This record gives sequence, structure tokens and C-alpha cells, in this order.
Amino acid sequence: MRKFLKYFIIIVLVSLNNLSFAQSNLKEVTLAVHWLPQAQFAGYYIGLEKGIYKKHGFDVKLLHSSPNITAQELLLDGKADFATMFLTTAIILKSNNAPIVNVGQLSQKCGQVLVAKKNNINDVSDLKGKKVGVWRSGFDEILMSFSDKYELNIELVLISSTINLFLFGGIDAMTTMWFNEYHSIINAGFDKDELTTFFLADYGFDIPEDGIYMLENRFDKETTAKFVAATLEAWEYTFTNKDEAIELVKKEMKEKFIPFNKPHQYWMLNRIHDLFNIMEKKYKPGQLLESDFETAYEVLSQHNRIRNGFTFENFYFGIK
Amino acid sequence: MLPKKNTFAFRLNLYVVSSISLIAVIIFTSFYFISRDILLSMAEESAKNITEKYVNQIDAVIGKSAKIPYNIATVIENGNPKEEELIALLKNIVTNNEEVYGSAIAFEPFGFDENKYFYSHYVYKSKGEIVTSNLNDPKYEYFYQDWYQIPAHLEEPVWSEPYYDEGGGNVVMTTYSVPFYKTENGIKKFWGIITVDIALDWLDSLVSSIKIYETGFAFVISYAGTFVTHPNNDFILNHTIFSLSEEYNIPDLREIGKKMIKDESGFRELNGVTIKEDSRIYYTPFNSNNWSLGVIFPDKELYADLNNLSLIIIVIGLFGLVFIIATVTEVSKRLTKPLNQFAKAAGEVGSGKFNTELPQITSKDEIGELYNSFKRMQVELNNYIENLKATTAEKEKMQSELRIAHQIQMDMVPKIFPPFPERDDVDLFAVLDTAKEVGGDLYDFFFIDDERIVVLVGDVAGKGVPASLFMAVTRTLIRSKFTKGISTAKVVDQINRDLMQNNDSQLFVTLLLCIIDLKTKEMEYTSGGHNPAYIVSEDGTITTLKDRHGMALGLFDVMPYTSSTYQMKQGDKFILYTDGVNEAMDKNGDIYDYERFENMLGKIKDLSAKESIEIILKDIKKFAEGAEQSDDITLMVVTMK
Repeated sequence: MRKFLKYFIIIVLVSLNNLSFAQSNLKEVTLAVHWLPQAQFAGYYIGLEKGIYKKHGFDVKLLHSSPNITAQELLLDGKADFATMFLTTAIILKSNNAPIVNVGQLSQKCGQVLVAKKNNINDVSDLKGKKVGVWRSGFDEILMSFSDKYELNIELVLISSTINLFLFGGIDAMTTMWFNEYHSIINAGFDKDELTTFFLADYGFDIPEDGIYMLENRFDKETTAKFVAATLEAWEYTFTNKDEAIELVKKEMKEKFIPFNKPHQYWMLNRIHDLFNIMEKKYKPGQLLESDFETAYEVLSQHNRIRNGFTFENFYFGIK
Repeated sequence: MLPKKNTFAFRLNLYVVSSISLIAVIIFTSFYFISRDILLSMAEESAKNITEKYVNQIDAVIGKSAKIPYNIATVIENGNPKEEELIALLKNIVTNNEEVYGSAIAFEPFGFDENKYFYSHYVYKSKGEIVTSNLNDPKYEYFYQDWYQIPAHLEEPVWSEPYYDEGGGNVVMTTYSVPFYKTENGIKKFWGIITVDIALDWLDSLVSSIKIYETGFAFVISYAGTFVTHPNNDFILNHTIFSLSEEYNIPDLREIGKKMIKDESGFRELNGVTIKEDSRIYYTPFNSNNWSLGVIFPDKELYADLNNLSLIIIVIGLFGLVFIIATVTEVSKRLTKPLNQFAKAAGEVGSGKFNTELPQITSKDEIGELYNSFKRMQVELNNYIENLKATTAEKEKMQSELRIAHQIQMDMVPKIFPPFPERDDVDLFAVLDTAKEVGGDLYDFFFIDDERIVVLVGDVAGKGVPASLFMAVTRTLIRSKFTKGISTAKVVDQINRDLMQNNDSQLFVTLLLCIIDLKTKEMEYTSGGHNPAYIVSEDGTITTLKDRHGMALGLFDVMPYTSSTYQMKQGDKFILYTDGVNEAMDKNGDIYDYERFENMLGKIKDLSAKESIEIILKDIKKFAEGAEQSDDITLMVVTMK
């Protein structure tokens, strides 16, 4: 009964908010997220569905990237006011003079995991000279730095999007996202104890991923702070109401005719939860730590990905 | 209907029904589990046959398709085909092979034409037309696609994981990619890939057509465990067998999936899969690629016939049990009915009605035997009772005769006291207290002239009528032998001789015979084997007359009897008795004996003859403490005045 009352009050409040903002002051913004619908973006679906963005004064339009168009393209083309992307992607863009700034950092930890079959590879030194798969869409910098640091001299094999080359044994190891491909490998019949995993964060490459970006010339401190706060609130709600969030993910995926695999999406949401909430680090919600930025900048510099240098102050406009 | 507890029928039912039930349960359980095992191995065999049959069909199609690019690869490797020839080859493949949806050839960068980074051709069917195209889109970068990259790295032909066709026609496809090589300066170098795209709608319809019982079904998973076909369309290309295991929390399914993708065959239980109920799965790999066919058998349907049969058996068994109970109850009632009648008859016989009518039994079984025995018992009982009646009558007659004999015996001794009221010189009292049976004691006294009185006490050995008669004879003889002046020795001698004659029964009598002259108070006496008599003087002195003058009378005539004399004084008490006095017994078998007797004699010096006898008898009775008297007790006291 109390639960019902709680929901009832929420509904009433939300309705009131809707009414009060209905004709007037809702600011229309477009948010582009960096991949097709999946649980990685559950927080935004919740923000929309539960009226959290409206409550903070935003009428948000959500755009998904696709193999044909990326979030950064949408942002740079002016088709989106905000875009989510990986920190490394954003730093490279910025060094190429893209006028973007980070206004909020969601992920606080590197989610990349190097996965190998246990009977071949049991520790880092076993990777020497081995074929390692990595997405050709550009996440190889961290892996290469890892290889350099441990003098592994790995043979990089660029792959497009599946884990099949690894499954068929065409490569010895591959980098995966902990919240995504790692679980796909598990659900292709490899048990956890049949795999050797190297969390790159554990090897000095703790470069966080998902952050919120916008064009520097559009930056308005007050509005941006509100938007980031709304987003953080939406994620908070998501992590405490995962079943509800997964239902929204399912709905989004079905609308785009993307097959929905429930255990996989649960896994993803749970891991995103882990990556967004790191106990060991001291940060304010939504804050990008300068040390994390420096680690990323350093790795990218080493691999000559930084065309024009810039500072943390030029890059990060979020909460400090 | 049901028999009452404690009845024969109940116990019989208990034993019979429980034994039969136990046996039935054992038989049924063995039957059920053995049948189950047989059914299971039959099901496994049948599953194996079904799956192998289908796998062979699938392999035939896949194998045929696989040959096509393989042949082309050989053609390309052995010649230097021109662009038109390549396109013609691809068109030929797509046109002539119904199951082939498209076919592509793609070369390594600058492999075919040293100026072209991408070089590929793709021929495919679209709306009934054969379309020629290429895959040279820089964004697509075919070198990094699975169909190109995997066989290139593995250096062997590969069946791709299933995918939906690009046209969005919702047809599941797979691509068979064959790498080909160029040999330059003796070095074999990877050159490119030839593919055929095969639509798998035929596979879906083939596998969907596999029906196992009612709800059993078949499915195919790929090398990565992805569902290629499944009755539930949502699973196809979306779920792997492992993600299903995770979603529905069935660890067994993961185990099975691992075996399936490792090209193993097997038959095992699977609890609550996609099919929700206990079931079994048979799985076996394709020979042509690394996919696997699984067939699900729902347990309930697998065992349906067995379960129906078991139900019938159980119902029949229960009816049988009821029938057995009814039969056993009826039979035992029939069997025990005569027993009940016998019990009743036995009760009546027990109460004395020996001629009670017995139940009519004609059977020759144990009950028949019981009837015969009972009948015999009845007859014997009747005879016995008749005999008993006769015997009892006879015994009563005899007893009455014995009573008469006893009476006669008692009549022979004088019983009127005082016997000589006119005389004041003698006080005489005597008692013969007989035991239960007729005994052989006697006493007597009589005057042979004015002054002399004969007193005697005798004891015939033995009891009963013979002893009694012998006593009567002795008494009569004694009375007849006295003549004037005869001595006691002479009388005893004569009596002994008379008794010896015709004494075949070897009876004998001890006898103390005395003649007392009341005037002179001189006494002559002869003791024929009799207990010594006592004299108790007025001053209390007790004298024992120990002289013996011969053996008991009636047996031998060895020596003539003699006699002794004793001079009594006034006030002397002469006490005669038989051994019934000194041998009187108490309950423990202890005897009265002379000592106690003599002690009593010490108390009688001032008493009359009658009083003396009375206190002695009283003392004997006290001593006996109610023990039955075993012998006649005879006491006589003669006081000199």
C-alpha cells in the first residue's frame, strides 16, 4: 500500500511537472548516444520515460548512432546538442580541432578486457608475439600501450564487429568490452574458468569511457549542469530499478528490429552499473578526474594520435 | 463386509493380503523400472536413428553446396581467369544451384589488379533476377568481415555463423568461404576467398518437420551455440543455447551445449528446458560443418504408454486385492463356521450334555477329521461316564459293606461303662477309636469266676475287612478257650495254633492277655508280641511290664508261650494299649512315642479310669494337630480298688 502511494505521488508529481512545462519553458535538446539501442543507454531511456529530463526542464530527443553515422558526426554536424562518446575518441577528436568539450563523465573505469583461451595463455608474458584481435573502429591505442609496456610485441588483427574470429581460433586473444563481448564469449560456450582475462585497468590503463560532450560554443554553464544532473538522476533511478530499465531497453531494441537477449542486456546493465560506480576513486558524480584524463592523453600521445595538444582545462567543462 | 479384528478371517486376510501386496509391489516396481530402461534405450536408439537420418539429409545438401566454391577455387588457382570469366563463373553458380542465394569472389589488396585495393564480384538473386555487383565499398572493407577474415586466418574453408540476409527478407543464411592461393616462385600465398551464400529456409522446414510424439521437437545450433532453427522464432540468431541456460537458469543446458559445439553425440536428461517439463535430449553433430542437431523428447510422452499401462495394472491390482479380501473372508467364514459350531457343541458337552447334536460334516478334510475325533470323543466320554457310574455304585456298595463290617467289629467289643456297676473292687474303662478304615484292634474283658477277670488288648496287623475278620475270629477264640484254672500261656498257645490253621493270607495278631484276681490282686499275663503295659501306682510310680512271652499269634508254632505274674496293690492303675497310641502321628510324620505317653501317665494317678483315658486321648489329639488318624487307637485302664 505504501509502495502504491509512493508511485501514486510520483505519478502525480510527474504529471504536474508535465503540465507546468507543457506549453512553456521546456528546452528542446537532442542527445546522440554512441551505438545502437542496448542496455548501455538504459539511463537515457529511463530519463525520458520517467519524465526526469522534463522535470529538469528538458524536452529531450534521443538519437542512436549506427554503422552509418556516429554520435560525434551528429554532434559536429549540429544535429545533436549533446553526444556520448568514449574519452579516447573525444581526445583524438579534440586534437583534430573538433570544438568539443566534456561536460560530464559517467564511466569511471576502463571496461576493456583482453580475453584469451586459458590452455594457451595464462599470464601476460604468454601473449608475446600472439595474434590479438581489436576493433578496427579504433580502440587499439590502449591495447598497443599495454603491449609496449610489457614488451609483448603482439600481432594486431583488426576485426570488424563479431567475436567469431576468436571463437573459430583465428586469433589467440581479443579485446572485448567487459559489459558486452566478454559476455558474448561466455554465452558462446566458454566457461569463465576456461578463459584468461586481462582487465586493462589493472595494468595501468584505467581510462574511463562513456562521457557527455557538447560543442564548446554552445556551452551554457547553467543549462549544461542541469542536463548533466538530470542524466545522473536518470542513471541513479536506472540502477535501482533494473527490471524496469530492461523492459525499456527491450522496447527500444524491438522498435529498431534489433534482437533482444535478456540475459545479455542484464549483464550489460549490471556491468555498466559497476563501471559507473567505482569505490576506489574519489570523484563527484559526473566528474572527470584530471588523472584519468592525463592517463588517456599520455597513451594517445605515445601512439601519435594527438595532432594538436591541449590542456585538461580546454577539454573539461564539467563539475570540479 | 470387512472381517472383524481377532477373527480368523481378519488374520488370514492380513497375512494373505500383505504378502500378495508385497509381491505385487515388487513385481510392479521391477516391471516399471525395467520397462522404463527398455523404453529409454529404445528411445535412445530411435532418437539416434531419427537424428542420423536428418543429419544425413542436411549433410547431403550442405556437402553439395560446399563442393561448388571448392571446385571454383581449384579453377582459379590453376589458371588466370579474366574478369568476365569470374563473373560468368559466379552467375553460373547462382543460376544452377537453387539453394545458393549468392556467390562472391574477393581478392587480397592489389591481388587481382595491382592498382586496385579492393577487387571483388558478387552475384546474387533478387526478386527472381540475377544481379551482378561487388563488395568494394571502402566503408564495408571486406577484408575485416568474418566470411573473409576467418578462412584467411585459419587457411581452411569455413561455414560462417548464421545471419539474416542483407535484404531484410528474414531468411537465415550462412556463407561457405573457401580460401584460394597463388603460387609464385614456389611460394604458396593467400590470394582471396570464394563464397556461396546459402539460404537456410530448407533447413528450417526440414528440422521443423521433425515431430517427436506430441510436443517433442528438434533444433539446430551453430558452432557458437546460436540457434539456427528452433520452434520458437525469437531464439533464432538471438539466443545461444548458453544464454538460454542463463536466462532460464538451467546449468544442464550449458553442459549439453558445450558437448554439442564440441561435435559430441549423446543422450541425456534435461530438466525443464524450453519445453518446461522433464525431457531428454539426443544431440549429434553435422558432418559437413560444426553445427549440431538436438532432438527433445518429453519424458511424459516418452513414458506415456508405460504410464497408461502402469495405471491399468494398478487398477487391476486394486480390484484383484478387493477380490482376494472378499474371497479370503468368505472362505475363512465357511471354514470357521463348523469350528464355531464345534466350539458351541464343546461348550455344551463341557456343561454335561454329552449327547449334544454335532454339526453335520461330510467333508474329508481337517474339519472332517475334527468331526470324527469329536464324535469319537463323545462316544468315549459316554462310555467312560457309564463305567464311572457302575464303578461308583460298586464302590459305594463296598463302602457300605465296610461300614457294616466296622459296625460289627465295634459291636464285638463291650461298650457299656461302667461294665460292672455292682462291684466296687474294680474301675475299668476302655476305648477303641477306629481309624477311617476298618481296623484290627480289639479289647475285651470278662469274668471267668467271681473273683477273676480277664482283660486283653490285641492288634491285628493290617487293616480292612480281613483284619477285622481276623480280629473277630481271635476274639471268639479267646472267649471259647477259657476253662476253669487254665493259664494265660495255655490259652494263647491254643489260640495261636487255631489261628495258624488256614491262615493263607499270613495275617497275625499281637495280644496281651491278662487274668487278674481281684481279691488277691495278683495278675497273670502273657504278651504275644504286644507293646508292654504299664502299672501306675497310687504314689505315682510307673512300672513297665516288659516281659514278652512269644511272637505275635497266627504265624509260627515254634515254642510254647509262657506267662508272668505281677502282684498289684490297691490303687494301682493297669494301662493296656495298642501301638496306635505310641505311634500316633502329627502332620510332620513325628510320632507321639512312649516318652510323652509316660509323661501323661504321671498325671493320672488320682483320676478315674474314664478320666484317665479322656485326658490321654485329648493329649494325643492335641499332638496330632488335626492330622488324619492312621491307625486304631485302643486304650484300657483298670484301677484296683
